[in-house]
Amino acid sequence: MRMFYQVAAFLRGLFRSADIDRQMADELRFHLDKEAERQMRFGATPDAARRAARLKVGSVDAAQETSRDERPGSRLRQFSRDVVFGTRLLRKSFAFTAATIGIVALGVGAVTAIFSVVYGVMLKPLPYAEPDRLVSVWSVMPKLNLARASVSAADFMDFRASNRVFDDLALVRTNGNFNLVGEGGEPERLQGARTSANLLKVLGVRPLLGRPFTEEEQRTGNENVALLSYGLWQRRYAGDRSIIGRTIELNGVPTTVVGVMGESFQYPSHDFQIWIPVSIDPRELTRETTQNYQVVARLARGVTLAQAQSDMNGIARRIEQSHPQTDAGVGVLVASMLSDAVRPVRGPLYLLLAAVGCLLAIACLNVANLLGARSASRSSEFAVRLALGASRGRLTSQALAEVLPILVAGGLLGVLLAAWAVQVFVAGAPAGLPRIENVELSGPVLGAALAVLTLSGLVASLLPASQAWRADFTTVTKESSRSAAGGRGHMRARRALVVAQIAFAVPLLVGTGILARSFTRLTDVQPGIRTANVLSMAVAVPRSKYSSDDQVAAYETRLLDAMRAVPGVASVGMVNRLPLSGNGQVGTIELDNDTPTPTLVTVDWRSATPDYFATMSIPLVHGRVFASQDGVNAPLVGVIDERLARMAWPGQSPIGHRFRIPGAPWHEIVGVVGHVRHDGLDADPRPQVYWNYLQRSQDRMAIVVRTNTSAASLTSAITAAIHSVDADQPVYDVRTMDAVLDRSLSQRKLTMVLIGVFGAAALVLASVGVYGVVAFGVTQRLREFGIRVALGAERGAVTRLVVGQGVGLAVVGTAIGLVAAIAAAGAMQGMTYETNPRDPLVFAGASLVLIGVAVAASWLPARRAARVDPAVTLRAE
Amino acid sequence: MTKPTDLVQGTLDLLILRTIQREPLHGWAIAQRIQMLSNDVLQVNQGSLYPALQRLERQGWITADWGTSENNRRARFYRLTAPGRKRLAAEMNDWSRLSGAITLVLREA
Repeated sequence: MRMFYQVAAFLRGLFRSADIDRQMADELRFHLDKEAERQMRFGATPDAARRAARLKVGSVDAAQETSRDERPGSRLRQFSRDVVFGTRLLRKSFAFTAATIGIVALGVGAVTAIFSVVYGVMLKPLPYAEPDRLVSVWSVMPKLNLARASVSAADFMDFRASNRVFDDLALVRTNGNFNLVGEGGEPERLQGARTSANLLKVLGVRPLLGRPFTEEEQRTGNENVALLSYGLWQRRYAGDRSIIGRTIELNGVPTTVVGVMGESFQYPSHDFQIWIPVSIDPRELTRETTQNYQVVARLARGVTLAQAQSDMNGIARRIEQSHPQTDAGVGVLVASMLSDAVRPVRGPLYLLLAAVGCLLAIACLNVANLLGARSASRSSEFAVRLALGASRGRLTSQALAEVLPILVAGGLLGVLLAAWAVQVFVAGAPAGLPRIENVELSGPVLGAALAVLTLSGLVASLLPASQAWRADFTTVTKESSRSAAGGRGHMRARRALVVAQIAFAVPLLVGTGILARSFTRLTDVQPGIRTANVLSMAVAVPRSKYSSDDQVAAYETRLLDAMRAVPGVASVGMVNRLPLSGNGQVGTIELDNDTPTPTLVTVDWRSATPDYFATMSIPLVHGRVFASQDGVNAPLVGVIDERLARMAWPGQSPIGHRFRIPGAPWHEIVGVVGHVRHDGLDADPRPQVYWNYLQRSQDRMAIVVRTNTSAASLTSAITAAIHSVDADQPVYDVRTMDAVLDRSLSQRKLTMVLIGVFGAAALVLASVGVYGVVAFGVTQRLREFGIRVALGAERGAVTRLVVGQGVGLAVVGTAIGLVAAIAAAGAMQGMTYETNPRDPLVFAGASLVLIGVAVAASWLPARRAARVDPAVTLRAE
Repeated sequence: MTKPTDLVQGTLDLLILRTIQREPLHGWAIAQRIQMLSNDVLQVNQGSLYPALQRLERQGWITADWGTSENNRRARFYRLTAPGRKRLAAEMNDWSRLSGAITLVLREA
């Protein structure tokens, strides 16, 4: 019951404070009147009565004040008043306010943007049920140097049957052509996957519409059903719900749509738009042939990754023993699905996070310095107020209240900046960044931004708050009015802040230097092809139309002829995997180089057309490339690269020797070409061999066209030429080879550019910090400089003194920063190309740059100190 | 007239509660009655009275409504709430025990 009255009174005090004030004023007036009346009844005159009443009744203001102080929410109201006052003060000093808000925005914005990438790519859980129980299972083939290789269907069956650690395993095959023609749009080639029926169950998701595959649909002949992605459903079928049960023409086969997946389903990556059931060839189960599969599994409840790994190791060994021909030396790896997906980008992302952390530290310290200087100039004001009765708590809370508007404005601006930066990043993101669809300013990211802002606010307000807390009337009046802006302790604190800023700047500069050096070395590497004026595009030949290998080869020849006729085309070629595209084909071949046991070599193998080498400017070293006589029924030929030639037949010509896939017919070597850095400029693991496309045809081919003019301008003409041969042929991945090369470097380039930007920002902030402290010191010591000059010191000596101050700060800061950078440099080991992460030249360079910046920043204050007129400074007090 | 003695905060609260036990009164009337009943010993000024009234209101012991005074002016009349009555009884009990004990000590010590 009492609670009711209490709550009502509390709320009234909180929200109707003004009403209570008014009502109290009324009551007090009434009280005064009544007392005056009483006095008048005793015979006093109205004036005397009023005076007596006022004396008796006491101070109205005191009553009002006590009442206000005791009311609920009074402290909050006070704080908000302080904030409003602080805002007004800030508005008056526009430059200071703009600078501090800008720096806070920079720090908060940069951290938020980077963290949104880190969170979206690495930390956000996968959108499946209990995602921490999902793992990928790989085969390990140390002989082929593959730490993560695809699993064969036979091994998968064994895993599924014998394991004791998984709820279930599912099979996925991601290579395959998916040409979609018919209603809804142009013929297009989709990236799709063939999955086992239990995939959705293992992942723990259901389709948005329709149903998952059934076990029967996995049998050959029944697999003409498909699941569409949400994006495909919206884009091509306008989100029409009646798509379920309709037939679409996929790879020339009528396929029934049985379901549509939800918007967040992006398995195996956001590029995949269609899924059909996988049907396993019985010959794969007897290990006669093999296909490439990926396996995803769900750990049983309570099973750890280590337990699963050891169980699977046992199974792998048993398979090895029972099938030595096919599975000798093949191991197994069980890895968490999420960490597997993000493994390649983990290093650079952590590096960026560390770098932006340094930048944030510098920004916070800078703001602390600025705020500290400002509050220092008010130390006499604080002392006076302290003497007049203000409590230290009140002063400190007021100092903090003035920082709040800066933090709020800076934080909001920073989040806006981050939102813009994230948009730009997602639009132009480097190729192959996994899970990029998750990069956005989501809840956890904004929460992190708020935490960062709070932390920065605490750091930044340290100086002003301690200034207010330790305000002392006597110390202030003791010091001369000239040095009103803080004592020696204050100066020490500010110098420490600047030293810290410089220390944090060192790793950023060093990082930029190392990455820049690494990148330059990388771009100097010759890929073995010339990318200028070469256009590339990909086609997937539909087997439904061109079922036999001969038909595929003939079709491809017709395409080549059509494209060659386009004006402006210098040369056209095809290869089944484009260099530097991130795709490859690796295998083992056998050489006939007169050794007792067959020599086996792991190579990149490709099917290529005769003009491919000329189009890509791959030099011919010996012999000849393919020609039209190397047709289907002609003797089997092959071309190898010079690395294999040097390796297998050193000192002699390999022409006439032979190689083959073990068990297959021999191919005679007719030519040797230059080596190509296929995987990327920074990796060069394997030699290459080429088959003639007529003798080993592939239905997925990359077309390369060398043009006389700019490559991109001929895109429509080439596409038209292709369509003149077959109007339903989807053409995709149209890119110039220059763009392909850039894309292969884009991740490194982006990391380098970002850290460089941070480094530049850090330099600017550090120089501002040094300038501030040195200029301040000069102002404090102006009298001293006047005395020095009056006593005969040279102006140059004074300048050197001041600059020396700045340099001293820089040297101490750089030394500390160097120690930290050297210690941390090891973390960059995997990310540099042929560059020592502790390269002494870069370290020395970074130090010199920082010291140089400090000299430049100290220059202006030094000149002011040198120009001091002793007559003026000594007279003024 | 003796110098008005300073009242401890809790004691003032008790006096206010007792004063408005019989009928609702406005602030000035409360101060008057306390002064009268104590033979001018206890003179409450508005610096203590009105904050005390607001405190008691916040604690839920009293509540106030606007009404008309004897000369037709608007004034705020304070009255006890039901929990307030119980509180008054308890406080009076405590007070008599306390003052009794003090008197005993002063008499005998």
